[in-house]
Formats: sequence, C-alpha cells, structure tokens
Amino acid sequence: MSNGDLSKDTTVTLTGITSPWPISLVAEVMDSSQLNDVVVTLGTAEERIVPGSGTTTAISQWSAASGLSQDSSSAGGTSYVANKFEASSSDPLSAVLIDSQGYRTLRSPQRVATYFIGSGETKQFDLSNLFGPDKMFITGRPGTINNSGALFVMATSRAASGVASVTLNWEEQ
Amino acid sequence: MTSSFADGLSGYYQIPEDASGAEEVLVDADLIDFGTGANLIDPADEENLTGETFESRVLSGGNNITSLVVTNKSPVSINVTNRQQSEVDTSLLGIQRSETALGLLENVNIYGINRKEWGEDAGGRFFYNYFTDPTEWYFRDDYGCFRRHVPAESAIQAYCYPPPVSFSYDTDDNSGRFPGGFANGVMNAFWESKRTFRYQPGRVTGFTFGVRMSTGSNYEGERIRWGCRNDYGDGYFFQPETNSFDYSGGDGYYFQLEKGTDLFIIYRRYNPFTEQVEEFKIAREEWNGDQVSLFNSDTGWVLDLSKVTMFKIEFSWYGAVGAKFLAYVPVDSGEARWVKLHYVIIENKLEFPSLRSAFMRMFIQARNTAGASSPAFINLYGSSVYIDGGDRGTVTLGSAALDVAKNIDTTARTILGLQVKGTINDVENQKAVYPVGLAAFASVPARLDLVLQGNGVRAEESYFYANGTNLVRGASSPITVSGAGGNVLTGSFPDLSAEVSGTTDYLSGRRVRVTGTNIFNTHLVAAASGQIVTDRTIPAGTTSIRLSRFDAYAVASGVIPSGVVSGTVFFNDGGGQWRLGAWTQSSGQSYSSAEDVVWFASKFTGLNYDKNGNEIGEQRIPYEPYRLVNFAIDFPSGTSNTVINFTT
Repeated sequence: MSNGDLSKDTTVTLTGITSPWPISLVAEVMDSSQLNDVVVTLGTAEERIVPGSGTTTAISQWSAASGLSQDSSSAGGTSYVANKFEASSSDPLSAVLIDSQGYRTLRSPQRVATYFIGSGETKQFDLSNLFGPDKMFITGRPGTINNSGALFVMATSRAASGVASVTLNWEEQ
Repeated sequence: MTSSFADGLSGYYQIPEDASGAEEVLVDADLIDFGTGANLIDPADEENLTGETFESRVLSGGNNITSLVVTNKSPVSINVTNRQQSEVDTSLLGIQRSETALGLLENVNIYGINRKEWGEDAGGRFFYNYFTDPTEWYFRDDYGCFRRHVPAESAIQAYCYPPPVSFSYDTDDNSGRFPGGFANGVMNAFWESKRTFRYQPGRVTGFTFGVRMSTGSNYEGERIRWGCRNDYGDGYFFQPETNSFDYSGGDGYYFQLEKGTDLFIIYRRYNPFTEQVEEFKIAREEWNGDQVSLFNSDTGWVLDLSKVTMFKIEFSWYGAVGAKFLAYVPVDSGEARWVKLHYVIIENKLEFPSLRSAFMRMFIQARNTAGASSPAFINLYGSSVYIDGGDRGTVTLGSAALDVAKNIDTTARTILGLQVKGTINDVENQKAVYPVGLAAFASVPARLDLVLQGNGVRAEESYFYANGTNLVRGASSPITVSGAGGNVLTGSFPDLSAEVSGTTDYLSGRRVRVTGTNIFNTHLVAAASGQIVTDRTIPAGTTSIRLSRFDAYAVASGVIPSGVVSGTVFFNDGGGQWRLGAWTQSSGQSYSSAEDVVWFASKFTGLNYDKNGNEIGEQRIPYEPYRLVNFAIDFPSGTSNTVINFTT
C-alpha cells in the first residue's frame, strides 16, 4: 500500500568499503524549522536491555554547526543524560526494566503523586494506595505502540543544590 | 438466581433453575377426617381418597429445596432479582465457596474519557489506497472516523462512516495520494482498556458492558464488536469477518453484530500447531442459551441493540475452560436478571489451551467500508471487570535503587525510571506491575514526583522520549521579485544552480523551496543569474519571497563507533522541513554539501485541500511527530562492500 505516511526503507551499498565507521549523524535544516531530541541507541532493542550491553546516548551537543542554534534548556541543560532501561541480571523473569542512567526533564508527564522530604532525611512512602491490581498499574502491549509508558521518579531541590537517592519497590503478577 | 431466606433460615438457599414464582395451582389433595386428622380411605381399594383443590404456591423447586405452601388465597410475592447464577459470586467452577468479588475496573464516562484507562487505535484508522485525505473531505457532513466522548450520554464512542470515494487529486504532490478517487476505503475505530485483566488460577473473571449501537443498516461492510480480547488474537466477543484492516488483537471472547442485524458470539484462540488464530463464529440460532429473539425467546424478552443493553462475559481458564455470554433481561415483575445466551463449552476437550494467554482487555470496536449509507457506531456506558477473590500466590517482588546519589537542583529531572519489558524469555510480556513503596534520601529539602509518561514509539525500546537538544533555524531574508503569476521570477538571487535537482521528499539531491504568502509546496527547477524557475505558479501580486535551502547543518561526530552494526536513531519534529542522515567515514573531515551522506529521514510537505478541492495550504509529511529509524550494517560475503539499511 502506498500511503501518506511515506515510511521508507533506505538501503545503500558502499562499494569497496569494508569499514564505514565512524558514522556521524548530520542534520540539515531549512528556514523556520526545528529538529529536536535526537538520541542514538547502539545494539538491537533486545540487546540493549541486557545489563552492560549497548548504549543509549542523547546528542546533547552537536559538535559542528553552521547556520543553526542549539538549545538544551528544555532538557535541563547540557548535562542531561538519556534514559536507558535495563533488565535486572538477578531476575531474568522479571517484567521490569529499570532506568538509573537518565537525568533529564520530561515532556508533559502525568503526575501521579508528590512527596516532600527535609534536609538530610530518609523517608519511606507507601504506594499501595496509588498502585495495585484494582488501581493503577503499569503494563505493556507487546509489539505495538500502545504501551502504557513508564513511571519515573523525578527530584527537585527546594532551595540549594544537593544530592538525592531513591529505592523503588514493586510487585508484579 | 440467589434468593435470601436469612430471616428465617440460617445461611442461604440456592434456588434451582427450574424454580417458579408465586401462583395458584390445581392439586390432588388427600382428604382427611377433621375429627381425627386421619386420612380417609377408599374401602374399595384401600387407597387414600383425594379431591381437587386450589393451592397458592410461593415457591416450588427440585429435590434440594422445600416447597412452601400456604392456604392463603393471595399469592405471596417474592423478589426475584437474578435468575442466572453468577459463578464469580459463589463458586469455583461450580464448587460453592465464600469469597468476595474483587472489582478491578469500574468505569463511567460522565466527564470525559479517562486516558489512563482507555487506549484507542493509534494511526491507521482509515485507509483507501493510502493513509489520509484532506480533513475536510474525511469529516464532512456525517462522514468520519471518531473515537470520542459523548457528553450527552456519558458514553465513549467508536464511530465509522467512510466517504464513498477518496479525495481526487489533480496533481502529484509527492505525498503518495495521487490520483485518489478510490472506493476501497475502510474505517476502523476502537477503544480498549490499557490494562490487561489477567485470569487468576481458580477464579472466574467477569466483564460487564452497557452498550448501544447502530442497527439495521443491512450493509455488508459494517461490523460492530464488544467483549474482551488479548494481544494474540484470542478473544470472546459479541460481534462481524476478518480483514487486514482489522485490529483484532489476539485471542478473545466477544459479541459481533454484522450488517446491523446479524448477531454472533465469537470465540477466538491461537492454535500453536497451525500458528494461526482460529475463530469460532456462533450464529444466534446456534446459541445454547436464550436467543432473546422475536421468535425464540425463553424469557419472552427480545434483544434490541439500539437500546442500551447490559452484557456480561464470564470466563475462567486453566487452559481448558470456556466462557459464558449473558444479557441482563427484564422480567414481568419489573425486575431484571442475568440470562445465559450461550456457553462456550470446551472443558477438557482441547489439544491445546483454550486461550494462548488469559490476559484480556475490554474493548468496543466499529468498522465500516466505503459505500455505507449510514454510520456504524457503538457507545459504551458503564463497564466493569471483576475477579472473585484475588490471587496473591503468583505475586513476585522487585526492587531497584540508585547505586550513587544524583545531584539535584531546582529543575525537576528523572533520577529513576521503571518500564515493562516487551518480552520475557521471548514470550510477550503482559504482566501487571504495581509499585508498593518508595524510600528516599536527600541532602537538602527536596520534592519527589512520581510521573507517568507515554512512550509513543514501541514497548520494547529502551529509550524513552523526553526533552533534548533542539536544532533551530530562523527565517532567511526576503527577496524582492517580479514575474509573479507565472513560474519565472527575476530578482537578486544567490547561486542556486546546484540546488535544483533531487526529490522533494529531500532524501536525495538538494532542492530549494520557495516560500511566501499563499505559496505552497513550490520548488526550484532551474536557476540562472537573476532568474529562477519554479515547479508551480507563483501567485499573482507576489513581490517578495524567501528561499528555503539546505544550507545550514549540524554534525554529531563519531556517534556510531567502529564495530557497531545495529541500532536506532530517535528524533522529534520541531516544525518546518529538515533531513537527517548518516555520514560514513567521517573521521577528521570537515562537513560540506559535497559529502556523501545517506539521508534516511526527512520532513517535507504535500498540498492541503478543502472538501471542494481548493488548495488551502501545505500538509507536513510524515505526520508523526516522534519517529525512529533502525539501522543495520552488513558486509556481504564475497564482496568488499558495506550495505547499510535504514528502516523506519
């Protein structure tokens, strides 16, 4: 079916070349135009969820640019890091992938709950009033685009800069 | 049916299915001697003497219940609330037990559609030979394809009414739609619960629906479904034929209404031997319960799907158990009860499981083809899913922690994320995950937010879209021109002679666009000193244009290092036109337009029209704001070549 979304497969043969690397991404942009949020993941989707395999890298800075401006403020500044979801090596039957690499702002997230903690405090929060088999839960849809997304913990200091750490416990069935 | 005698008797009685309500009946009663109370005996044969008399019977039943008889001539009414026994309430596959039904989903749609609960078919809603036509054409008059909330009815609706022919295009605008005028359109719309409701061992799962739908079209291409299905093709549903444009999900049980007249019960299951989904389509006259039809109704009630009607589907699994389809049927006394319409009886008869996966989603679906004379729609009102009891035996626990504390400041950033796998050991993952606890430490006063974000790409991908770096370009300077009203403009132009060839999807060559007021999808075809030639007429009166060129670039060096043969590039459209490519063997080189770049993604334009065929602007193509391109690098044996494949 020819269709309006014009999905295209592109195959190119590089004659006489056995080592095409390194391969750089190049963007060319016309008047009054914008290209956002380029991220490169290396390895197949299956490979990338294996701990220690593959990479997920946001292009937070384009090294050479002409006629274009770069802006990463919406991601939280140039120090942002792409999210990378990995499986747990200790539980291969788990349904869950965890991202502990990501460090960035999100695009229009749905807030579920907000908690506050004081300086130097350690606190535990019961989430069973929010999530459960008869409440919200996170589930997937294999092979399609309608998966229900991911849950993130986002942290903000209320005054000066500092550090934070979290542990998330879940049940799965 | 359950009737309570708790005031006078301990516990509860299960009234058998053959019970009848209060009535006066003519009986043969033994005659007795009022003086002694002894039976009167016929001296001829020594048998009891009998005589006919009327008795008022409150209840009568089978062997397991006492019939209560009173001599009062006035019938004593009983409150019959539900004649159909619900296994969810009282039994484990017929064995009585005491367990409280656990509600998993209770949904009404008064204020709108709860997007956390309901998902719709994403993309691919309507097809002719291509994906889309001008909006004004698709959605004129009553035509269109909608997944919408109907506030006046507190309903969510799936609605399909395709125009008889697709839009006709005079010119090929490179959008893949030319020449149009096709009559093979199919529209498909559905709502489906985002959550999957899993069978739990030993329990029965019930799905209930209050639905109303279009009826009586007598049009072959119309089909409406409601029920439950999984992502493999299994399903139990009330439904109409399989079509490549159908999203039928997987296994399931559902109702199916065809042509607005013919109602079927559908049982779908995956056959692991043939690796195909089998569909058992049970016509109404083959139902083993009440057909609730004009000429065949045990209850005397006739189903009218144009009226809001409650349906229920109950199923268990064990790999060997079927499903019951029920409707809520009014009775003469002003009450209503669940009545069995059909029981898919497959218990212990199968060579493979009754469903490949017992994770089911609730759904409603409407489908219609071009040529229909009326819309096909289904409205869902209230709905619920429940399981008797609840299974904790298969729950497993998990925990994730940051190894190293992360810096935080006044900008909210992700520090930990949780997503579900696409597969577990190559089996598609449909588990439900529910966080139960969060422990946190912060060195400064801090705020923690739990947030959900949809992916929009694929379940199995490990990257999750978020804000990143934007590459931005402003407008170029305007150029004063003359010659408008034709295709040849004169003015002061830069050297554009190398920018007049290539495709207008920008995946090859380097074409220049001409932009300005009411100038749509126009590119240069020739350029000379002080003169340019365009592929479309420049509107008369135009005195100023801009040249939109691929003469601004950005390079991310070395992002695909040596030895990497596969991966994915994700990106997000910010507006306008751009292209993204791979530049091989780029180490140490300075980028110029002469470099050999393989362009694998672009944003370009087609023309947009109103319903009367008048050009009203441009349409940006492809339509998706978020996209990904997979790449694979191969080295064919016996050659010294490299083959790079980019797949969108």
